[in-house]
Amino acid sequence: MRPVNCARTGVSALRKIKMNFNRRDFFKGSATAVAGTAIASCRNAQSSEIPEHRWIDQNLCVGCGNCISVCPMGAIRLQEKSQIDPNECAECGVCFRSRVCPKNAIKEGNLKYPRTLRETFSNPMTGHKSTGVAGRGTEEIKTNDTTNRYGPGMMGIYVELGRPVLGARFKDVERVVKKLRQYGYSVIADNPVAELIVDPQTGALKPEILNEKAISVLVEFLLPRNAVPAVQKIIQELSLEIETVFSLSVALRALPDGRSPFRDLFGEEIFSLPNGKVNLGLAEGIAEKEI
Amino acid sequence: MSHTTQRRGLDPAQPGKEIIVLAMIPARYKNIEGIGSAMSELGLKMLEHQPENWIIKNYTEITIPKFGPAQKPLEWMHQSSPDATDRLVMRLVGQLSTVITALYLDRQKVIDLIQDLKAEWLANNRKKGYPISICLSGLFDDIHQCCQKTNCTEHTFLHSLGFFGPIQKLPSEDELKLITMCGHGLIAVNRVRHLVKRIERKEISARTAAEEIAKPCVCGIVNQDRSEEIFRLLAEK
Repeated sequence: MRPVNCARTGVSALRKIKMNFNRRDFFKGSATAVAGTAIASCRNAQSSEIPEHRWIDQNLCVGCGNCISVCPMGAIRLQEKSQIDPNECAECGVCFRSRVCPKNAIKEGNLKYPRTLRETFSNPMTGHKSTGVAGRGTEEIKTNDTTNRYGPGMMGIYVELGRPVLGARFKDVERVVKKLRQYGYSVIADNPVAELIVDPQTGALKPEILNEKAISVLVEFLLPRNAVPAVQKIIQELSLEIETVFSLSVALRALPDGRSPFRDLFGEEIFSLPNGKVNLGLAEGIAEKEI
Repeated sequence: MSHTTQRRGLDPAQPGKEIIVLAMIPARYKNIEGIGSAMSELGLKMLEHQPENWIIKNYTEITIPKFGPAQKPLEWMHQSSPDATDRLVMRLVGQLSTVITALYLDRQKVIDLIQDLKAEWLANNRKKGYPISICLSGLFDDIHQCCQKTNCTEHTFLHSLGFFGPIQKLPSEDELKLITMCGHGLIAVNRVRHLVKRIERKEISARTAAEEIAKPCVCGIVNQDRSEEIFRLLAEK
């Protein structure tokens, strides 16, 4: 195997970035292309016997155990040397990015579908092809001043499975989608889970993905505001049926004076955090036409 | 990224101490000519207002695959001119990403930033048709203060109703305060416990532990000041 001279390639890449930095349009394509080519070269230079999951090269590992605690899923175990349990690994890449291994023994796997889902949902540096968004692949309220996804009279219900700590299998995601379907509600079209549904009537997901695991999966639904009693019932039922933890968030367009209608709808008794997120509406009216 | 919405430990009795500013381009607009430069400009303005943490601030400490071979030279540059390199990296991020984030520990800085954006940057976006959304995450009272002081009106809210399911499997509330600081769940509970033990053994300081848990969070939204306090409390227990 011929090592790639990363230092030289890196200096050359940076020089190219610097050279083109004055040309305003440079970054649109070439920076990613330079980086992408180099990464592809590194990948191609590796052996063809690469496992189909992230792995630790047992010839390099010295058994120091530095990598054990960084794994958010607790998937790295130390026997004589460290090993990644592929069933528990969510392919988030933290162990690799964290530079905890003194021997660079943590290696990228040759991921194939459906395992690739683990990475796209768990690694925030990987984008979802279906939505073009990194991380969980969702825009939620963050762009609502452009998309108007959540208008007056409607509310967004977000069920985020697996975070914190436990992670989520897609069989639990399917339970959520099916439950909401029973009540007549569907996953919104630009949520990455939508493309995994094979039966829109029942909410069944592709069978081959059900045992795949992610650190977290966020499923978004759009409901009318008068569905609050149904939401409360759904939460109770899901709490008993889901094997992992989930959080529930509610997206609401503000009242004309800027107040949230949350308490008017859900009442004073229901628990909610004192903190949350607010879109300031600064992009409203900028996008004149759909693209 | 529902992300910051599940953040635990923000205390309404101690307002004004933790606000995250998040900017996002809707994915279908990200290839509009020039919108990346508008995001870069925004990122630089965020840096001018002195955030405590920001997206990929930790590029010298973790491997960023998207940077590819450019990362090492950036690390070398950072050693001699950290501020200039931070700005260069922020420009890169603005060009490549649909999201930019920054964490502020002083509400006034956020107010100043929004006023700054409303002065010229926003008008340019309107003229050029760049729909870049700005969101704030923190205590709702703090966000309302920011809106009032900048003549903004809240547009859309996201409220968290908390955790459900087998919550008995979750770590302690203090550990959750640390773990939920990364909205992608990349802070490992085992890491937190390992660091607490090291603080107890006086091998590291609470500050070092706070810096350690900030590393995996590529969005740069971990509040190291608050983390340090929590680590100190956990070690004392």
